[in-house]
This record gives sequence, structure tokens and C-alpha cells, in this order.
Amino acid sequence: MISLRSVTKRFAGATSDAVHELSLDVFEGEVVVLVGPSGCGKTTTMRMINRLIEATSGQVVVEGTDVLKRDPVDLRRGIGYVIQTVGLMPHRTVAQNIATVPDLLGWEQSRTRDRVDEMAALLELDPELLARYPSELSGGQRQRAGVARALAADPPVMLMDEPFAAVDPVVRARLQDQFLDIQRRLRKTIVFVTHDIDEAIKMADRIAILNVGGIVEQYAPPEEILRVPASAFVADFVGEERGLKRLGLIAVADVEVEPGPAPADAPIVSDDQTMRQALDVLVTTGCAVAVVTATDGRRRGVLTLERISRELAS
Amino acid sequence: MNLLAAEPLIRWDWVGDHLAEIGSRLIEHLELTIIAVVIGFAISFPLAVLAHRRRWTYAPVTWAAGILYTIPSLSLFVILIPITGLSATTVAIGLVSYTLLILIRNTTAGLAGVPADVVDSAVGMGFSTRQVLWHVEVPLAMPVIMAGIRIATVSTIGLVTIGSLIGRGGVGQFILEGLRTLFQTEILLGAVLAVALAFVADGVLLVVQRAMTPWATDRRAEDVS
Repeated sequence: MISLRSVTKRFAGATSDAVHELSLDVFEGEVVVLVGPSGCGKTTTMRMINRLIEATSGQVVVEGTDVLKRDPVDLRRGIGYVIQTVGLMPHRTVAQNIATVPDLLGWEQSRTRDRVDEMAALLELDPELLARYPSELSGGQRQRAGVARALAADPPVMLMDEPFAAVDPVVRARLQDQFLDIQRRLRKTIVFVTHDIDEAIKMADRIAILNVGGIVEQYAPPEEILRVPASAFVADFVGEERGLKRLGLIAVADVEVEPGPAPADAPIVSDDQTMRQALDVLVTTGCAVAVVTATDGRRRGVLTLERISRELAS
Repeated sequence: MNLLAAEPLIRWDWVGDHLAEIGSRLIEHLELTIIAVVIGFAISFPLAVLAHRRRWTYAPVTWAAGILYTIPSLSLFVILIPITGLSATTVAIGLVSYTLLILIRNTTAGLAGVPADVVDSAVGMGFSTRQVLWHVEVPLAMPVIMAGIRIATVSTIGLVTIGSLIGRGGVGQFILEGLRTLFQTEILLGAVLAVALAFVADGVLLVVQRAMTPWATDRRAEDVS
């Protein structure tokens, strides 16, 4: 668990705080996304957790210890770190890059080698790529190597600063899905920084929306932020189509469907789709009813426009 | 010049008779060059790291090295002779002082050119300051540092010939003797050997640099993810 307790940061020479009395608890195994416009102090906040920046006042507690009471080098070796540009070392092969923290920690060669292979498999990096230098990888491969490197020493805590921002949208979506899938298995405590609200909604267990000057406008699960924005700033930042975005968070599988009949030409939606996709199917086909099938193809019931609206009212 | 014109361009018999001297002059030339560049780098490297870490020291450090660089070599030898005599030390001190500016500038430029995000992620993963220097900054600055070493080496090889004026000039000794006796073969021999030595040294260092930085060769993968 990570606790920020009225943390303030004012940089030398600045006339106002970059982060102002920010308090936030990141619970074990959760992904907390810090999101906000530029100048909101989200990266500064994240960097105070591994002491790349030291707070002017307040306290940062990681796994029960005030970070200022720990040796910074030691602290950082226990926290995974991924940045937007990845920062892979160009003079080291991908395997050597992934092995960075295990090497710093003095692991046995054989253990490190096994771990590198394991990480490559986890991130679906072709083993053939391990002997290459970072300049020989594509953007998506580099990002995955960066995540593999951050995970290599199995740190309980990870800091990720716009880790998927440098790739095109298609690759980004795939990396996000892959990362969520990994996170479901590994259950790391993650602080994730982005400026993209849609990425925040997709990745977060909780979102902290920050305003300029490092002020938390709202700290809540994505669904709640979309349903009841705490301020005009949040509503504005979250943007239009809040209802649609909320539907995007609900899986068809989690919705009680009605038994009822459906016309023969009714479109079909599947349990592995979201309610937003189901709505899209209804409006594009012009039908009021869709047939819902379970992932094994079995008919589960029907979904009506009215039922979808009710989901938003709840 | 009539005297010179009367001679054949090169008297190979003379060259053949002096192979042993050619060998020992070449060795002296190389020794002086290597000593100068090695000592020069040993002085420059810590100064460059200092200038990189504490930016305000860059100006005074390069200013001092610049002054040394500006002193004409002949004047420097004259200044040093009362202290170190007509010795190889005199030549070496002069040569070292001319390498400093080039080596400090290139080393600082190399360190400054290391991508900030690579350093940031290294620090973020738990490299100590020392580890960042030796495992990240120095290796990544190596192409620029080596470029400086190549320039310093080649210019030192040229400067060694001036040391002939105090009797320690490597192959430059042939040029000086040749000029004194108006013997064209010896002048040409000295000049050609100095140029050849410079080219060979540059080539060897280039090969060493390539071997040290295999990652710098640009073999990019096709952009598939």
C-alpha cells in the first residue's frame, strides 16, 4: 500500500506549489490512475513515491515505511518504473535490459536468465528479440520490453508514467488489454499517470482527477466518477458521453437479461461485449431488441434499449 | 632548390641503410603519442565528469584548457626547457597540454548527449550515481569520447614532429635533419611516415570504437509490433 499524506511540493524558484497538500491511499493490488491536464502535478506526485523528487512537506509511505527513512537506491530497486519513452538502455540488449534490476540486486545468473525468459513470455516478446538492441525493436515491442524490465524483479509496487503514450492507438489498445490481463494475475499495487481520460477509465480501479497545482478534484472508481462527477472541473474533464463511457465499463455478462421472445431478424450480442457495444449494435441495426448469447454461444435472453437505459439510471 | 632538383625523388638505398633508425624513430613517435593521449585522457576525464555534473565548472575548465591550447608549441617547449631540459618529458608535457581541450570538450559533449530518459529510468530503477556514470553515461558517450581520442591522437602525431627541435621528435627528426642538410629523401621520408602513422592510428581507433559500441550500428527492425 502507498499513502500520500498532505504531500506538498514546491520547486525552487516557483511561486506556487506543483502539488498542494495531496492525500491519497493506493490500496494493495489496485491500479490507481492519476489523470489531469498538464501542470496538474501528476508526474511530480508519482515521482515523489520513489524519491526521484522529494516532497517539500507531508509524508509518503510505501509498504509501511516513510520513503525519506529509506535509502533511495534501495527503495527504487523495490519499485517497478516505466516511463513514456521507455528509456531502454540502447547499449544493452533487450535481455540485458530486462535483467537490469535482478543484476542490481545481485541475483544468480541462472535465476536471472530464467526470469528474463519468463518475462518475455509474459509480455509475448519473441525470444528471438532478446538478443537484439532496443533500436532494432518496433515501438510496441519497446514498450513491452520496458514493462518486462519493470516487472523483472517482481516488485510489489509499480510506477508507470504514460507507459503506452508513445505508440499508435491500435498498438496502445492491445498493450492496455495485455497489461490488464497481466495485472489480473499479478495484482501489483500500481500508480499510473496519464493525460488521457479514456485510458484512465479503462485501466483504473480508482481514478484521481488532479487540477492544476496538484489538487485532487475527485478520487473514486471510474464508474462513480462518470456517474457523479464531484465538480464542474471533473465533469468537464471527463467530457461528453459520460453515459456511453459508463456503459463501456459494464460487461453484458454482468447484466440480468430478460427471457422474452425476439424477432427473427434481431441482432446478436455476446456476453464478452460491453453494454456500450450492445447499444451500438441496437442503434446501427435499428432494432429495439437484441439476442444475448453466452460465450459458449448458448442463448441467454434478450436485451432491450429500455433495459440499457435502466442500467444508467441505477 | 637546384640542389634538391638534381637528386632523384627518393634515394631508396639510403632508406634501406637506415631501416633500424626508421624503426626506432617510429617507436619513439608512437610512444610519445600514446603517453600524451593516455595522460591527457586521465586528466581530462575527471575534469569532464566534473564539468558535466557541476555545469558552472565547465567554463573555467575549458577556459584553462583553451589557454594551454593557444600557447604555440615552440614557445611552450622554450618555457619548459629550463625546468625539464631537452628531454622527452618536455615534449610529453607539451603534447599532453594540447590534448586537454579536445578531450575535455568531446567527453563533456558525449556525456551531455546521453538521452535524459535513459538516465531517468536508470535512476528510477535504482542505479547509484556511480553506476549511472559507469554503466549508462560513459558507455553511451563512448562514440563521442572516442571521436575526441581520435582527433587528439592524430593532432598529437603531427605535433610530435615539432619535438625534433629539442631532439625528441620521432619521425620528425628526419624532416629536421633533411632540411638542415637539404636532403630531400629524408624530408620526404619523415613527412610520409608522419602522415601514414596518423592515418593508421585513426583507422585502428575507429575499429576499436566500432568494436566497443556494437549497439551504435544502425540496424533498425521493420516497424512491426
